[in-house]
Amino acid sequence: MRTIWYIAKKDLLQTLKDKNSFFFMLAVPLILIAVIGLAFGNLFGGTSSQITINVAVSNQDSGYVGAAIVNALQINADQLKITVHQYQNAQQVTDQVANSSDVNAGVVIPAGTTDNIIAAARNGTTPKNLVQFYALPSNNDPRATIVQNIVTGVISSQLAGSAAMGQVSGVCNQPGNHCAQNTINAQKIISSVGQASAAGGQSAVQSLTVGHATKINAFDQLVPGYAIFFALFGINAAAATILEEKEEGTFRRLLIAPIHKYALLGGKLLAQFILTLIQLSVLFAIGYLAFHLDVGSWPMLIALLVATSFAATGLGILLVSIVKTRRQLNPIVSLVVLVSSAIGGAWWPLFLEPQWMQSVAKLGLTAWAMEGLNGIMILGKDFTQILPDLLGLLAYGIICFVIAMRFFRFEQKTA
Amino acid sequence: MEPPISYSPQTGPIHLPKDGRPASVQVQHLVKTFDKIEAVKDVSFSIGEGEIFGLLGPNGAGKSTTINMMCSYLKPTTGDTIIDGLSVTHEPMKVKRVIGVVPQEIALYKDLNSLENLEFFGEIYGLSRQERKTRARDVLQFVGLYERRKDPIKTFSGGMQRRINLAIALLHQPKFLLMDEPTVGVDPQSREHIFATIEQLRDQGTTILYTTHYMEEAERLCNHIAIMNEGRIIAMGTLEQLLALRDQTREVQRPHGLQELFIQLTGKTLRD
Repeated sequence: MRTIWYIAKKDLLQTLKDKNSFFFMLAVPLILIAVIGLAFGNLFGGTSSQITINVAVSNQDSGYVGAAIVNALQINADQLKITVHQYQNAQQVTDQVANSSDVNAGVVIPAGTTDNIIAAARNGTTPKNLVQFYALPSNNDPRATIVQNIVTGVISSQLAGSAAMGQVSGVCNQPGNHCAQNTINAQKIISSVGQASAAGGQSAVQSLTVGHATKINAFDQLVPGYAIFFALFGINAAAATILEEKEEGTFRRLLIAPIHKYALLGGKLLAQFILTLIQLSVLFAIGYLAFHLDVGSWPMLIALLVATSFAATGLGILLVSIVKTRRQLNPIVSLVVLVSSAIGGAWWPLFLEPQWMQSVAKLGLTAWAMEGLNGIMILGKDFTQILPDLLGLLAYGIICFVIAMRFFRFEQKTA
Repeated sequence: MEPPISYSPQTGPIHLPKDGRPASVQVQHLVKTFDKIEAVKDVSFSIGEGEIFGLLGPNGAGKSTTINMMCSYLKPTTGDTIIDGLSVTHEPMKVKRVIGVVPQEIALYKDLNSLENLEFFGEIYGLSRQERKTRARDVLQFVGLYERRKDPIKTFSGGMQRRINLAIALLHQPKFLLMDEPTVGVDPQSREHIFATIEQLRDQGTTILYTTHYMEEAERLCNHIAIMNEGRIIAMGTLEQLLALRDQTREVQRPHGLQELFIQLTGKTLRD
């Protein structure tokens, strides 16, 4: 055991002296996580859940309907913030929608909109094309839909109020009925009914929560994903040290020394295991401190990181056993890491993938690791639920070791 | 006066006269076959204690394979080597503690400095902390690089790296030193320093097996010399004995030097 530690210690010392490898192990993943997290945070829900919308509005209506629409659009709540930019005419609104990337939708409220609604109510007809809503063609931006729904809701409520006023007038005008002059305030009736129509339903529905929400903070996905991704790339360097020692002759020199050959290999693997574990631990610690990572359960996280490091070490020695030179190693590691990361959930949550792809992904260790990490960090799973992933990672490592020992060559095969 | 020795590529090994000294190393009928290729064919010789034994031969002659079997890196197909009374085949761990190997390549950790390299190999050879400290200082002074002990190996010249390569092999004070072309690619000054070091080791009683392609090195250093070709020893003896050889079949004149003899025995065909 002492010999294993001596060899591992020497490898760790070599890594310590190699500033480039430290940069690649820690700085590069952190930079990538920060950049992607800040750039694409909203794809995962983002650290802030508030949706922000900019609307260009031209309110040419002097009545209460135009004012009601503008008021309804001016929202500043936890989940939604709409900023209304007012313009004089329709041309300015359409220009903004067409040319400004900041403006999500446009609304034009023509003059006489209020009068038209009242007249339609009196006549018992449904008005058409009262307000113009503008968005980019073939636009699937949900923010435009939100604005359209708000405008439609206001018009509907005003129509409901106008219809109510029409009914009141009808009752007053029936033979035998008499409504004293100036006792019927049409605008107040329309407004009250409209408000009740718009807001009454909201207060009547109680908002409750139950179970666990599938909350995807961008960094909850990105930190483990890229940590695993770069840890797997780290096996390239660790595997390369074995091949480098073979090529440089130090491996042979150690085999000539009074140590068991499996102690030599054990030392190299111990160093790789420690380095992988340190790399993962540091990335998660920084993720927790800098990106407010929700780790779920620390003991379960540590167990998963240990198992992942073990499996990565096994994969490393398996790769070394089937390649002969460092030049052969690079493309093979790149292929294995990129494919297993892509389908294994390193770049997006594994549970978003089709079931068949999740099954195929289990051929790589990334899927086992990410399923466990997504489980504790996003889905709130307990230990028994992530136990299959832990056992999967350990089995993965053991299988790799067994296959590697079958093919690993200590001595030269030719003269 | 010793009788001149004869050689025969066909009849196999010729045992070395020991000058009355006890044999420190006995190579006994070593054979190594890789798949269907017989790289070493029944090689036997012995080396007296405190001798420098030169093993010469063209590329592919089987020198390195022989050395690899002698230091237990390769398992012989048949045969054995006895070093200081220990069988390499049956007691490899004990043998490894009494031998030192200076490999042909510069087998050092070049990111580490001399002391760190020596510290690591001292740990591997089971030296205590105090032994490692003392021995590291001694061998660095021995090879003349104590002042550069904290400089990374990668900043050293080729000759200096060769001297550290030698220092590591000497760290655990081996009784038997195998040196596989230890002066390849070094400048004359470093080569001279290495020669002086080897002669000092010999004077201290260390038994040395030395392989080289430089005939003048063998002429200067070696008590006995064996020439290998195509997996066999084809000539063996002291320098004088070898130079006295005549190729009876080819009617070749007595060679003027080891280089000429070497070419006579191994031919002029280029080797891979």
